[in-house]
Amino acid sequence: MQSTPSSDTQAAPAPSRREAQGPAAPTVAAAQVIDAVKVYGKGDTSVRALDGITASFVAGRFTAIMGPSGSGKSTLMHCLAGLDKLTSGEVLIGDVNLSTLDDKALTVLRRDRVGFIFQQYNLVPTLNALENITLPLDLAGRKPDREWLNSVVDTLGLGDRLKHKPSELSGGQQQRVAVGRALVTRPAIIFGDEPTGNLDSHAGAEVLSFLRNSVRQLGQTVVMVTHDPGSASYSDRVVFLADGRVVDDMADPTAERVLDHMKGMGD
Amino acid sequence: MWRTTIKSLAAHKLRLALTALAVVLGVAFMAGTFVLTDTIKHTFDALFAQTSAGKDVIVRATSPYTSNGRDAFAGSRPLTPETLLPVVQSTPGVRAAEGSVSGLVTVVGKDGKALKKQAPTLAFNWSTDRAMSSLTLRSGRGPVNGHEITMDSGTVKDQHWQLGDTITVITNQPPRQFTLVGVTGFGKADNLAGATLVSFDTATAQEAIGKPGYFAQIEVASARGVSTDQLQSAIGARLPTGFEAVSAQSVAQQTANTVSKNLSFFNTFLLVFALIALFVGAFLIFNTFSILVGQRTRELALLRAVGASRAQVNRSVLAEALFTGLVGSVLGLVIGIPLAAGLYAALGALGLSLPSSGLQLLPRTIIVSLLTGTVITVLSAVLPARRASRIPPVAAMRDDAIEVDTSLRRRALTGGLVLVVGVVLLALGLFNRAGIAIVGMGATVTFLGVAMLVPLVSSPLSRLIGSPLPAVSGVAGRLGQENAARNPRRTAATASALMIGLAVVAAIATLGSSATASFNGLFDKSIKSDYVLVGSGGGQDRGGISTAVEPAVRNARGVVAVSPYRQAVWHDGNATKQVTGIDPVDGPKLLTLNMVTGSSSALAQGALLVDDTVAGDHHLKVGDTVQMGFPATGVKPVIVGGTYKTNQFLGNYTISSQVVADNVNQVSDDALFVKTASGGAQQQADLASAVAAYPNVAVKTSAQFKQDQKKQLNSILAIVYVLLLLSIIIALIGVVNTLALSVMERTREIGLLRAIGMQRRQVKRMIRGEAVVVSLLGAVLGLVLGVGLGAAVVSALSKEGLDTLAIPTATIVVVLVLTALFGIGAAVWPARRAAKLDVLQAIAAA
Repeated sequence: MQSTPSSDTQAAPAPSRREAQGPAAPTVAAAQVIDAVKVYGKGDTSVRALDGITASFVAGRFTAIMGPSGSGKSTLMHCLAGLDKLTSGEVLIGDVNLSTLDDKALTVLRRDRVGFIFQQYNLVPTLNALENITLPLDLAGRKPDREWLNSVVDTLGLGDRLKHKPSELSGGQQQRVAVGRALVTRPAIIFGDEPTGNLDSHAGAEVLSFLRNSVRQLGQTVVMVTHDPGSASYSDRVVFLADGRVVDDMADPTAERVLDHMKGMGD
Repeated sequence: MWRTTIKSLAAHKLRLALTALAVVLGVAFMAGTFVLTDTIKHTFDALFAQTSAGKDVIVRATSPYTSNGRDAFAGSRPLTPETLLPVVQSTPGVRAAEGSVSGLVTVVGKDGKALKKQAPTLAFNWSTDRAMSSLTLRSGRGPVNGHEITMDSGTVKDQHWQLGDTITVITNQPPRQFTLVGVTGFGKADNLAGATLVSFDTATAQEAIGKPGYFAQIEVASARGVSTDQLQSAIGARLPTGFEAVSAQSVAQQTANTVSKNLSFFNTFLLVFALIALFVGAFLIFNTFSILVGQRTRELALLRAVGASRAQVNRSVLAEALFTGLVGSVLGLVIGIPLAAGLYAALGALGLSLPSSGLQLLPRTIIVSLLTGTVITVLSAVLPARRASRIPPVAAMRDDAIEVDTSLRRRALTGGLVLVVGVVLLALGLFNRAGIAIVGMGATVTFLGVAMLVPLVSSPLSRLIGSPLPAVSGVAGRLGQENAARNPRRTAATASALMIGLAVVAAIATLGSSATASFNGLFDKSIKSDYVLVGSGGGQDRGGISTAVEPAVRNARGVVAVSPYRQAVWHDGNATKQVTGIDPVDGPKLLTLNMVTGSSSALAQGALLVDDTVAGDHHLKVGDTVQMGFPATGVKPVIVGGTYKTNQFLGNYTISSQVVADNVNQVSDDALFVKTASGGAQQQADLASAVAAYPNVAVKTSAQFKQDQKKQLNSILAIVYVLLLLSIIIALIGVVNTLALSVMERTREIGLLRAIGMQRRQVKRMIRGEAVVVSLLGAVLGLVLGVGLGAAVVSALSKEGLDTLAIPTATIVVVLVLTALFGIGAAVWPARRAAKLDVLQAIAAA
C-alpha cells in the first residue's frame, strides 16, 4: 500500500555514544540507515533490493522487520549488521559509519558491537555450549566478565548442559546458546534472522520471551526479521517493508493487528 | 546414469584434478623408470655389440666357475699362454688372430690426483689388426713401445690433454709415465659408458696388467666365406684341454647380460619408490572419493529415490574413478618420458656418459604404467563406491547430511587382523629369511593395518598433538585442533598417506644410523691398526692399491706393522666364497684374530683360517684339507690352520696375502692397515709422503676412516630420501586436498565465525592449525612405525654385523620440524580460500 513515513524515522536523533546498558531512553538510536539503496546485478537484470530506506532503530527497544519475500528485509538487516555493503546511503551503528570501515574493522565491529542469531542455529559443532557462548570474546582474546556471563547463562536456563556439544542439545537449547553468544559481548545491537524459524512453537516462544526480557530487563537492543505475526507480537514495534521501501510502522503490535495489517497490504 | 557421472566429473574438476595429480606423479615416476632403464639397457647392448666388432671367435681358458661379476674384465678364468697363438693363427679359415690383455689401472689427472669418475678405468693392449678392434683411432697412432699409450677421447677432452702430453698411470707396479700418442673412440662413442680406456702395446700390457707370456684371451677374425660355426669347431679341434673356442657374439651377449642384470636391480630399486608413491596416492584417492561421496549424499540419495539401483550408484562412482585413473595415468606416462630423458642427461653429468641412442618406450612400459595407475585408482574407490551405494533414498528428504558410518569396532577388528597378517609376514621375511619380497609385502600390509586402526586413535592423538595450539593462537588454534579431531576417518586417511612415506624414511634412517654405529663398533672390535690406507677412488673395481705401495709404507718412519687387505673369490664345489688375504706376520697384529683352535702363525705356512661358526657348519677342524677352486688358477688343496671368533672385516676365511696374489690374474690391495710407534699429525704426514707417488692412495686415521664410511652411507641415504620425496609430496597434496574439501564442507561454519567476528587471519590460523596437526599426526605415526620397522630389520641382521641399534634422533627432529613447516605450506591455499569466503554467501549456503 502507500507508504506512511513513521514519526520515529522523521525524528531521528543525533547519534549518541551511549552504550546499551540498563534501561535506555527511548529516543536514542542504536542503529540507523539513511537513504539506503542496494542494487543487485547490473543493467536490465538489476534488482533494487533497498530503494532509499531511511530508518532508525531505537536503543533499548525490540524491533521487528516484516514484509513479503523480496521486500528487502533480509538485505536491510545484512547491511545494518555490516555483512553486506550498500550501493549508496549510509549505515550507522551507534555513531560509527560502516561505509568508512574496511573488512578488518567491520569484523571487529561485528565481534564487539553486534550480536547475531540465525535461523539455522549456526553453532560451532566442535565447541561445547559454554565455549560457543564465549566464542566472540575468545576471538577478541578477551576474558569474559564473570558476573555478566553468569547472569546470561542463568537467564538462558542451560545450567547443566553447558559442557554439552551442540549435537547433544535440542533445537531450542541450541538457539538459546546462540542468544547467549549474541548477548555475551553486551553488543550495541542484536540482529535476529528468523530466529524461531526452525523451532517448534513452544521452543520458539521461549526464545522470543527471552529476547524480550533481555530488552526489558537488560536494556538490550534487538532487531529481528520475521514473517510470523506471532513472533512479531513480542516486539515493541514493527517496521513493514515492501519493494525495498518502508511502507508502515506499528507500535506495540499484537499478533492480530499484525495479521490484519498484512492482510491489508494485500498483494 | 552415465550422464550424472559425467556431470559429476565436470562439477568436481578441481578436486579430481588434485586426485589425478597423485596418479600422474606416481605413474610418471614408474614410466620414467622403465624408459630410463630400457634406454640404458639399449645403449649398453649396442656398446657391447661393438666389443665383438670385427671378431668372430674368442679362444680362452675354460672356467669351471661362474664369474660373479667381480673382475669381469680381468677375467675370472685362467690365462691363455702365448704359445696357443700360432696354433690358432695356423688354423685354416683364420684371417687374423691376436692375443688380448685387459685389466684395471689408475690414471693420474692433470691436477696430480687420480681421475675420479663413476666409471672404472679399463686398460687393454693395442690391437695391431685395426679391423678387429672396437677402439677406433680418432687422432695420432697406436702405442709401439713401453712409453706410449692411447686414451679415449672423452677423458682426453675432460682433462684437456693433447698428443705428446705425459700421463702417469698406476698399475700393479710403481707409477709410470707415458706419452699420449693416440686418441681413441669406442665405435662412434667417445668411450665405453664413461669408462676411461687406456691402451698399451702388448708387452707393456702383459707386464702392467697381466702376466708376461700370457693373454687373457685370443681374438680371431675369420677369412672371407668361413662361418663362425665352422671356424669355432676348426679351432676347437686344435685346442688342448682346458681351452675353448666360443663365438665373439655370445661373449658380448654374456657381458651385456651381466649389465642387464645389474640394470634390472636398478630398475626394481626405482620401481619400489614409484610403487610407494602410488601406494601413498591410493590413500589420497580413497580419501577424496570418500569425501566426495559424503558431500553428495543428498544428490546420490535423490538418484536412488528416483529409481537408480544400488549397482548403478556404485558403478557411477567407479566410473568416475576409472576416468580419473585413466586420465592421470596417460598424463603420467606422457610426463614420464621427458623425465627419463632428463635423468639420462643427468647421468651423463655424473660421468656415466652414454651415447644417446633414442629413448626406449617399450609397449610393456605403456601397458604396465596405464594399468597400474588405473587399477590403483579404481581399487582405492571401491570402498567409497560401496558406501555411496548404501545411502538410503530417504537421505534425500532429510535436511542434515547423514554419515553412513559403519562402526569403528568392525574397523578395529579388520584392521587388527590385517596388522597381525602384516607383522607375521614381516617376521617371516626378516627372521625366517623368506626373502625381500615377503618383507616388502609384510611392510605394505602392516601399513594398511595401521592405517585402518588410525581412526581409533586419531582424535585423541590430534588433540594431544594440537594441545599447544590454543596457547599459541587462541581460539583459532583451538578450533584448528578440534577440526583435526572431529572427523577421525578423514584425518586418519590423510595422516596415513604421510605416515607411509615418513615411515620408510624413519626405517631407512634407523638402518643407516645403526649401520654407522655398528660399523664403528665392529671396526673397533675387529681392527687394531692406527692408520688405514685406502684407494681414494673407493672401490676394488677401480684398480685398488698397487702392491708396490706396501713396501713403500713398510719403510716409512715410525711404522711398526703393515698388512695388506686383499680378497679373492674361490669355489668349494658348491658355492662361491670369498677369502681375505692378510700379511701372515703383521696381519694378526692389525686385525683381531681371536683363535678358538689352532694358531694364526699357520698363515705363514699358507694355511687357511676359518671362522669358528662356519668351521662348525662345514665340520672343518685343524689339519683338514679344503679344496679351494680359484677361477684363475684352478683347485688348490689348502690345510686348515685354525679357527677364529667372528671378525666381520675378515669374513669367513682368512689366508696369507701371498696365496691370494698367487691365485688371481691381477693382484691389488683393497686397503692397507698400518700400526705405528706413535700417532700424531707428523706420523700421518710421514705416511702420506711415503705414498706420495700414488695419488690414488689416501692415508686415514681410524677415526677418519670411520667418518668416511659414515659419509658414504649418508650420501646413499640422501639419494633414498630424494626418491621418497615424491611420496611425501603426494601425501602433502593429500593434505591440501582434504583441507580444501573440508573448507568447502564447512563453508557455513566459517561464514558464521566470520559473521560473529573472526578475522581473516584468524581463519587462516585455524586452517593452518588443522594442517599442522594432521601432518604431525602422520609424522608421529610414521616415525614410530618406521623406527620400529628399522629396529626389526636391524635385529634380523644382527648376525650379519648390524649389532647396534641407534635411533636417528637428529633425523627424527628434522622430519618433525619439516613436516610442521610442510603442513603450514599445504594450508596456504585452502586457508586463503577459507579466508576469502564471502560471509553472506557462506551463511546462506544450505
